Amino acid sequence: MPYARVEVTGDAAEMLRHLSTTYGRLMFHQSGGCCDGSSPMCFPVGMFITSSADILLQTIEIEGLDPIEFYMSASQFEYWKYTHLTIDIVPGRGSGFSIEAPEGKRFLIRSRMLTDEEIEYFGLFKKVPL
Amino acid sequence: MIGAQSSNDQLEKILSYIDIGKQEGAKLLIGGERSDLGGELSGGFYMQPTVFEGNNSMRIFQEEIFGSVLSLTSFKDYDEAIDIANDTLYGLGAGVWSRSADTLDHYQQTKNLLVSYAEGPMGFF
Repeated sequence: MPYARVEVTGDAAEMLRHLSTTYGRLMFHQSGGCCDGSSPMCFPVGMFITSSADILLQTIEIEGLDPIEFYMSASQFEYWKYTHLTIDIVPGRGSGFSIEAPEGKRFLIRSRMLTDEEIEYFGLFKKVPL
Repeated sequence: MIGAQSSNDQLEKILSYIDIGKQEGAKLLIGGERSDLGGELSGGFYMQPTVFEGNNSMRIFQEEIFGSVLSLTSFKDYDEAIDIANDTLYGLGAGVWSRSADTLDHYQQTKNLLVSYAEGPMGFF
């Protein structure tokens, strides 16, 4: 596939490799509201139950790991659909439900707007500025 | 002066929202950068007070940034303001400031209808 909606930085991939040795297969759900809001939450597969209210944005392939599915709620996706997401990792406060938290790190989303080619590829219409 | 963010990851998250705000075309009116207070406070998780101007479909309007970032939009009349306020996934709190007592009365009398109709979300001004 020429374009991806979600990618990972090298540092984030390294952490995912490390976490998978303890937790096995992993997945992400992008949190949107309060508490750990606006952050990608990483869980072992089966710990977080997705539903028909969630959309699978991307199946992330990292060498040596099982594919990692990245989910977001469908209603939130309506506002996010014009952005490309990169999962990065930064020093964190060591608290929260996402499994990398005890490592003293925190996954973080870096966003950029989709290019015209990507907009077309993903079947979107260009946003008209108001 | 604004107090420090609770952690580095929180500060980084706020900065990433300022970045996407600019990319989405919001106008940065003030602030937008990490704040260096110098001396022994240097390196602290301080953020400048930040104000954006944009529209309610932008991610900086719709999402909870949990930082010193205010997003402003305009409206032409009361009904449009209420529509904008209701256009949210996360209704937490709402308020109306007006110089007109009539406007405030109208809001007081109708706001409960809006809450019961929308099952909660009222928007955040």
